[in-house]
Amino acid sequence: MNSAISVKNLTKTFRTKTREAGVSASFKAIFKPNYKKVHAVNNISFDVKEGELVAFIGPNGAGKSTTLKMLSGILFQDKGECRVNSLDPQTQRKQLAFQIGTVFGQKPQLWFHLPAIESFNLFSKIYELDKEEYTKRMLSLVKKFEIEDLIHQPVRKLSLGQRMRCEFVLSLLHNPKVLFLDEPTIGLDVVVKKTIRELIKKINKEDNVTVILTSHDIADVENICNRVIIVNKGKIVYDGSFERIKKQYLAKKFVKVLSETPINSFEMKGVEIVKKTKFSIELEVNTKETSMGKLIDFLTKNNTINDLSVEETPVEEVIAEIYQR
Amino acid sequence: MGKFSGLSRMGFKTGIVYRAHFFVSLIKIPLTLVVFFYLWRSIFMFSGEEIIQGYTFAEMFIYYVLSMLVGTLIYCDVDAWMNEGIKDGDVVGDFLRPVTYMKQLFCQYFGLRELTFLIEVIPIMVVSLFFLNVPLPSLLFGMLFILAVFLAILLNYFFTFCVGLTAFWLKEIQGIRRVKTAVMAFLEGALIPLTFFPLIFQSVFKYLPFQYLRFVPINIFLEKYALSEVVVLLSIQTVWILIFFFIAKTVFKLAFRKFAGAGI
Repeated sequence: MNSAISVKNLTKTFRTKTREAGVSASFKAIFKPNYKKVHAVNNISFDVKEGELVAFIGPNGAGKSTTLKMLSGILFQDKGECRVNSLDPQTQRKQLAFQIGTVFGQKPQLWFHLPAIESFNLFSKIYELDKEEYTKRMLSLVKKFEIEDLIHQPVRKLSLGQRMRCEFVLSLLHNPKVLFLDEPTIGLDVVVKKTIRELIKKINKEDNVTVILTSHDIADVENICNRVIIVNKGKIVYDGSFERIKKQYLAKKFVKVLSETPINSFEMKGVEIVKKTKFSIELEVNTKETSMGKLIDFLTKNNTINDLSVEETPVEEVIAEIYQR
Repeated sequence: MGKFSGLSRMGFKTGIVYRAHFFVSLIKIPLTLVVFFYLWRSIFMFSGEEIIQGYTFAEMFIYYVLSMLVGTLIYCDVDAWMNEGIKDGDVVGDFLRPVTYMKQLFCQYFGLRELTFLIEVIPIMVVSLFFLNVPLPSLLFGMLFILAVFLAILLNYFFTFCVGLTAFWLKEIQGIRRVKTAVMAFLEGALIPLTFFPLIFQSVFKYLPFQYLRFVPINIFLEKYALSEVVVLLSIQTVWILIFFFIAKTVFKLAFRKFAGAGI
């Protein structure tokens, strides 16, 4: 398979003005601003294969959006190279525009005052689409995203979730090979988030569109992406499958036991007692050292168990731990 | 051509969305004209002259009717759009399209001009023809007037686009825009005909692009020039369009490089 996106030693440094608080400092800043260098993206390299669905996650200011902007040609890198569909975004922005679609959760691209259908029609002209093909594709997308009833209302009257679905259709009209999604689920409720996730998966599968998405919501990633790139402070700190994160970092389980008979303390390799009362006990188990079956066997033999629950470490915590390394 | 009409339609449609705005803008021009009418009537009455600076009272009033008409037709605030877009980062969306930024804005601007023509200019024309007895120029000068206005629409766009480009460096250009509006009201001949200025000023105006926006088209309509003069004026107007077009193109390249280099 060809690589849809290749990034080599990409580096971007911003010079930002800093200003102290206060009136006099504000005046001073007008004439003599202080500059601070920020390494937004610091020497990152990765490859994305055609048809892959990759999540780009990281805390605020980690460099996710900066990278997406460089890939779409609206921000120039200081050092390094990137190719999207073997085009150089910096010099071939116009050709590239025909091949990429973008959805920014925070930057709507639909015309705010007009119905979405007007924006769709406009894009069909801007992207030089064949009229018949466009109509066919538009109708099928509209059906897929279930926005039949929405496209004739002014966009400003739609809810955020409805608007996002329209944004998706807009970004897909010209049949892009690569889709950049910058926080596509931001501000959406749980149900809409789920719908959007399903749709992203569907587009990726059915049209073989390469998707890169950034998000703060780990659930987005967990549910749709098989590959995760975690960035922090401009560097890649993890690049691999989501499963591997789970295996590597989710070996710890929390077990809560309620018993009808009093529980005694016990010792077992890889098991730590977190909290104990007369009839209940909370344990932290490292499943690499002791299997869950062995522990439960032991517990049922020695106690009359009323209730037992097993919990994983929340993925958020795991990711936060990776950030901090 | 598809892109062009597509984008200009959007400008047109956006302009027509808000009906109240639409109807209020209909009475703006008649109201202003009433003020000018009484102002100049009293000026002529007190001076006792038949002709002031080459204009009779009737011509003076027609000057303002035409000034409103041309001013409405060439009205351009793309610099404000650019300022907004750059400040809140929406230009990013425009840059992601396979059409240049300058072309996208031009199409929307042109679409709005079409709308303006239909809802503001046609009413003024009807009213001036039937109620104000505005004398029509000869067919030839009428055509030249239309051409001059069309060129003024282009000139104003490229000039305003150049002003708007400064926002890439300054971020906020409201101050510049206000100064621009105030200065241009004089230099275009919107407040008073340029012949009212001292001769020294007038000779300077000749070398500026601004008189081609309003003063020159109006006086073509009033047939204040000989045909040969009109030809020269229209040629200079065209040269100015080309100059601002190239400035706009070149500076935009720099602006984009600045934008893509530093981010916003």
